[in-house]
Amino acid sequence: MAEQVFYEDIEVGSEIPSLVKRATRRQLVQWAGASGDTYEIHYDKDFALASGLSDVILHGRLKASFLGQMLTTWIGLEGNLKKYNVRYRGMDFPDQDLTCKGKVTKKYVENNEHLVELDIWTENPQGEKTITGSAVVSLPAKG
Amino acid sequence: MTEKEVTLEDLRKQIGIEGPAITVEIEKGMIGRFVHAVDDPNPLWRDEEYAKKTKYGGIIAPPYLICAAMFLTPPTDPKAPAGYMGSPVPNMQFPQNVKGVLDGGGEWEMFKPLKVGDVITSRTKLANIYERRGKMGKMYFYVAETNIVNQRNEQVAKATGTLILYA
Repeated sequence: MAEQVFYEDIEVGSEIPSLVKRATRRQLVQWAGASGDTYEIHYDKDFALASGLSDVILHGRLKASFLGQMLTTWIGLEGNLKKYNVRYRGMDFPDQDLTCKGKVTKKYVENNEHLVELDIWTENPQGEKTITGSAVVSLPAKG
Repeated sequence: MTEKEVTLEDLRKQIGIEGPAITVEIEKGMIGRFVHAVDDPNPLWRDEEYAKKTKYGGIIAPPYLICAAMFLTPPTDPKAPAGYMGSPVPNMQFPQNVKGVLDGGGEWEMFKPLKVGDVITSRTKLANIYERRGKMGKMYFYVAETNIVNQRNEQVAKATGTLILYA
């Protein structure tokens, strides 16, 4: 694991380490099984084509989990992911890079917790944002 | 057969309806399958020896496990027709002539870590139904709120999801 990040290290306006995910079709089936979302649009290409899509698409909640992975990796063992939200703005397809990103928008202390707010999003290979959202995490303080 | 037109008023009568309680035990195997599917190598979800030395004292589920559909709807009947999606409340009434359904987004709030052995129970209610006009015609937004408690009846998480139906 990477070194622990501290509240004092964070600057408003800075980006956190991005995470590139490239979901395979196998992974969509694995996610369907693990999460319980067995909607065919995510693994049955015939079904996806009949639904007017060009291919199967990633589960929105899998993409939300990728953002969760980015956030929990960044905050480390001593951080807590308290809250996050997403809006699905575009579809994503397997075997393409999906880049998860985050940017610090605010930091403050509340009830003795050192909190950081971020904008979070995913980008497709064309650079379009397919998810936008925000997150609140707590981080340890050095003091 | 001509159906009586379903109005927004009719649909909104469902607001407040609660679905059945869904109880799930947080097991190591379940966490393992979940983080394997996400492809998240964090040892806190995977490696007992590593996790033992942390403040958690053992493997925990990643907080984003709350995204999983299993907390929203019971497992789908394998014999259900293709395209069937579980609904968070029973016999949920949809608008007429639905052309498509999309997950609009979600919000997840985590209050306590999910530990191996926790037995968590989720309940979902329809919190709001509203209509918008978009490029693709009429859109109906179904907002579902899920409250999740553990075996000690402590709130561990809260989730809000928005389903968009195109008609």
